[in-house]
Amino acid sequence: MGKKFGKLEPYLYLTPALIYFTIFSFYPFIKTVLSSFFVLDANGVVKGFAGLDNYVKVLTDPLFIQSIFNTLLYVVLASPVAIIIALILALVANQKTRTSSIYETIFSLTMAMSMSVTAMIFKIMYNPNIGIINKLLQTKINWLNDSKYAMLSLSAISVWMNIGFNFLFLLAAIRGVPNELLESCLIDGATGFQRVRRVILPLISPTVFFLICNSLAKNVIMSGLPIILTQGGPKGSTTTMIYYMYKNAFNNMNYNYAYASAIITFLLTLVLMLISFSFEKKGVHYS
Amino acid sequence: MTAKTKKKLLSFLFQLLAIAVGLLLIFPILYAISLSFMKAPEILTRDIKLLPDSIQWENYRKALQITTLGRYMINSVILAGVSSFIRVILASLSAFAFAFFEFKGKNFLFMLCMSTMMIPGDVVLVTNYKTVASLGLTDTYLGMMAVFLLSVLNIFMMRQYYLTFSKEIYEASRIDGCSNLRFYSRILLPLSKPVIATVYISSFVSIWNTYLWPMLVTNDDKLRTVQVGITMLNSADGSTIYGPIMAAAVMVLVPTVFVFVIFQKQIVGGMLSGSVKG
Repeated sequence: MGKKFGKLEPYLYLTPALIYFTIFSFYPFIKTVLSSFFVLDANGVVKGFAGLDNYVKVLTDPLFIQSIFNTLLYVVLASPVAIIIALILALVANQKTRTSSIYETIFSLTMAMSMSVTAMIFKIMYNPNIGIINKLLQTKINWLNDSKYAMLSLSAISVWMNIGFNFLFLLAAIRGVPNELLESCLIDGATGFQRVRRVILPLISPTVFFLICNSLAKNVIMSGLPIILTQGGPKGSTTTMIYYMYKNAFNNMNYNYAYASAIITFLLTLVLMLISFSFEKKGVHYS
Repeated sequence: MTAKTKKKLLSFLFQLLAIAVGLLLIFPILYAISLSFMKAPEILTRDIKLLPDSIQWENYRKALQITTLGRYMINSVILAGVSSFIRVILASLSAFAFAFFEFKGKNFLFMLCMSTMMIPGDVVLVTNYKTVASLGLTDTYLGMMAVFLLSVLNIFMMRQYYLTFSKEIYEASRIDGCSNLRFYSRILLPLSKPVIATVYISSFVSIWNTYLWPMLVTNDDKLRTVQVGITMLNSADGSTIYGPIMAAAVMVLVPTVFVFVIFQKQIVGGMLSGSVKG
């Protein structure tokens, strides 16, 4: 024991996590990066050095360019809306009332929903003939098979699914704001909106930051909804970047395209994450 | 009307409105439950039909006939339950190191861990499959759990929680001669019930919900999860299958909702409650 052990101790607690990340994140990632510079056959066996050829091929594929825009559209449509709606719900649920535990549970319930179950429910709701959405709106829109609406429809599903998760975290954060602080600003005569902006938002900003990172990471790599609902169509309008990678790896056995598009997706994620990190420096207050 | 009754009335209306908003939010779930009790002609009608004419279990019977949903559920519970438990342990240990210790390379190691968040799981899917296969873990529970045993988001979440802890508790317990591991297990973990519940539930739900990985590493029908079972129903063609699909969907929903409602109280206690209050 003694001092030496004391110095080593924190590393000891980190070891399991670091070993795990090495095997299932870093090693496969490095291997994917390296593979993207080589020519691979349908079995994934290296046939020769490719340099940047794979990247050039992927970036000149109109479908991949389209998938970049589709992914960005999806991120922009889905991420902020789900956080804003959840924040409003969390502010509503913050005040404890006799029934608050009931609507807290209801507000967070979408978190319990699985992608495939949700996709299946919305598939029926989006159905152009028997779907409840067209019936209620009295429209005849083919939500999932019209390239104008397909991505919007998928984003709506994503927003709905993420509300519960975001709500749960924001509510916990808002409940964590010390009562004394809220009371003292009541004495100062702050209105409800001022209280939200000046006291609650700064104090819950670590949570908001966590949710922004989480949403970006989740939404940029989204592939489940197109796999289950649209197969990337119609006219490629719901082909996200990861769906493009998935299709090339598992359907076309084209690992060259798959690895290159995977790395490009990774770079996009990186840019978005760096943006939210810079946001952290400006707006996040730790207590 | 006195000020007190007025206040009560306002609170009542507020609660009513909040519940109404909630029901609107979960309309898709309620509608799915309703559909699961409808006969095919009721589902296929062109009129707006929100409630079934009568409660009948035919769709549930059909769903259970087409797949072995019970077995799938046991598999999903094992997969999600055990993986989430391991996650809580690994994540809280790492977060403990990051939040309470000063050591060389701390920032670097933290950024290294955080960088795994930027490595999309799907990007490394193929290589991970090869790793698991080379370890002979395909068609095993361990193989199914392999990629779910830790998420850096959980470490981040717990670290954020620990950072809001007053350092005084830690230092006081150290002065009292409490070892680090003892502080972790006897003081920190009991005080972090809300965040543990949050990590466990969010992990359980997200793992329960995964489709691609469990499908990739299992060929044995006995090891399939509910998500795969659901898609098997989906592949059966014809619109008359809508009823059984919704019945299966409702049956898959029940366990998660169950877990969720049980743990709800621990979460709403607030991520910061139970910390230093004087």
